[in-house]
Amino acid sequence: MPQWKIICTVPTETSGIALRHATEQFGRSVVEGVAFVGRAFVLFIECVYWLIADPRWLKPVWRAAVASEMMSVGVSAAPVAAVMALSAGIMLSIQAVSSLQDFGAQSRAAAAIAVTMFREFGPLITAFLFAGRSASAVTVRLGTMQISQEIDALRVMGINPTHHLVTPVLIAMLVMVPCMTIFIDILAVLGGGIYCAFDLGMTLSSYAQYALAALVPFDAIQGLIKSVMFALLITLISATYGLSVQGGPAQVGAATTRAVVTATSAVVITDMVVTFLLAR
Amino acid sequence: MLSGDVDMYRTPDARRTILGCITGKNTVLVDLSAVNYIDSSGVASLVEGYQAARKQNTLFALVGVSAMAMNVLRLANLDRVFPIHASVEDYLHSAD
Amino acid sequence: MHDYTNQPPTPQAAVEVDHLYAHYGPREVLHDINLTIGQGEIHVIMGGSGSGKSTLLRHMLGLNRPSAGRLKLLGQDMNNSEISALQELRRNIGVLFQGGAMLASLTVAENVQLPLREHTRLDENTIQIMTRMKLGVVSLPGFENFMPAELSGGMLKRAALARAIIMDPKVLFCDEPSAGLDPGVAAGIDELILRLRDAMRMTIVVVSHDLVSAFRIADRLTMLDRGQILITGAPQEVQSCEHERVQRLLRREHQEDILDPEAYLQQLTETID
Repeated sequence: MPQWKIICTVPTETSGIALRHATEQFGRSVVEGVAFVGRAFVLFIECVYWLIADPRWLKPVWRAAVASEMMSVGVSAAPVAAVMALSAGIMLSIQAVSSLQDFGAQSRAAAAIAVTMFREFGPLITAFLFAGRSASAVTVRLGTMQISQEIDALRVMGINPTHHLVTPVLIAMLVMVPCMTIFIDILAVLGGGIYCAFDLGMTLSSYAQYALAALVPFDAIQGLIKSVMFALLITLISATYGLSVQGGPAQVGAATTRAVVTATSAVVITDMVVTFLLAR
Repeated sequence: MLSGDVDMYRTPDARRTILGCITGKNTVLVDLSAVNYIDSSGVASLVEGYQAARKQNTLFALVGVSAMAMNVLRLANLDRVFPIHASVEDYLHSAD
Repeated sequence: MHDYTNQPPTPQAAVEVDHLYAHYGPREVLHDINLTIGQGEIHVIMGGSGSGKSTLLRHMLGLNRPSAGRLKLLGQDMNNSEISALQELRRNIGVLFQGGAMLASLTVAENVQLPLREHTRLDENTIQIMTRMKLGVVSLPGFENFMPAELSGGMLKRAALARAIIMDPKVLFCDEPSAGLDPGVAAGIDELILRLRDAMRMTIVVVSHDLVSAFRIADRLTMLDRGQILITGAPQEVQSCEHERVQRLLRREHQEDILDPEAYLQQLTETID
């Protein structure tokens, strides 16, 4: 019977189709990914171009925008940053003391905390904080402006949206992320010290001496190099997502989620690469 | 006496001229008869000048307002604010 | 500049569209558009949703690039000009967007002043007086320090109109100026558009689906349907046009009623291999 034959061929065909769809899907994601990286890179070039070609440093509008970005990006994040830093320091301290105890080297805890914090965790915690807080804020703001035609309005008024909206955030982030990293480093080491004082009966001043003795300037520089790169990544990724929103409020939400996820992953991957290059 | 176009490029000059005339000791007549084109930045300077003149009890009036300039004034309802005269002679007659 | 007193013959058209085609992906949204809008006229581009009228406006503003054809604004080619020339051109056009598109983070006054601060070196006093003058023109005196979110729909549109005309543009574009407003408020906006043409001899291009408003203000009308121009002419000409689709549009009948079986089948099976 002819019908049977037809039914028999169905499974092989669907698997072929499924494979084709999966391949297509994969290909499309790769293309989209490459296109995204391209857009982010173009945005970066554009920012650099505008900062050099049209120095708005002197324009009060632009300076006010940078100042208010710094406030919202940095200063108002300080309380939550402080809480995160102290907790991370105490957490590190607990782990360091308990694992160093086996070797009777608890006094080395200060050194361990200071070095890991300045090299790794300070920049990373700061980047996570900013990826969650500022990246989402930037994407929401630019995405909302995109769908309400505010970006179009700027363009037809002859005001470059990148220069008007993105460069102030970029500058604010490039300044505030490293500052916040140092702030978090110091508070976290302090948090560790408090735990050590509580658990080991070590005085804060001897803890500070141990910590400072273990640190070399390069530890801090390494952390700052990372934090500058993180600032760049977070800003460019979130702005690119925000500016490419099309449609309505639902698309703004979706873009925001993607921005936070992409920014966070980019930070971790970059951290690995930079650590590989700098710390060996 | 202003002449030519008073647009956003040239308003800063016109503004300086107008404000410079208001010394508190004279009467200021702004003759617009040679103005081909005036935009709202030019009109804004006239407003500023008129206000400054009033503060110093200086008489301030516009003369020779072209139809074009009149339209710009009318759009912002300023035709009912400024003292407007057809010409300098006309102003002198009315002052008698 | 221009001697407005004895209305000279217009040397150049405000807007010239020459064999313009546009696509969204594979879909053609504008088909061979040819349109000339003279200086000093109120030109209303009408059509239902999906007729391509908003796309045409975006092309006129240089926000989209056409797939083929040319578009000139005040004699300047929108797609083949120096950036500095386009920047200069932007000083001479104003745009009233459908939702107002006021920057939410700035006050009404800051929004209105934005083009002045960007493009001119006027001093602070002049900028302040100009802002108040324009807010007066749109009947929003005293609203300088309000945030856009605090304004009603009609007020927002008027504030946006003040921003659009702050530079005394030669050409003003309005996207659906009466959409979402109650008839009284919409009539007020129409009134303002007429006053701007009369006082400033502004060329005003209005995109609208509102028949009442369109016939109230238009010097000339263009009717767009499915990406093509059906007719361009004075209101009486359009009214008396015997073209079937024009008459249906005028009677507000949906275009879907006119069924082309071939095209309909094509559309339903478009994505099927």
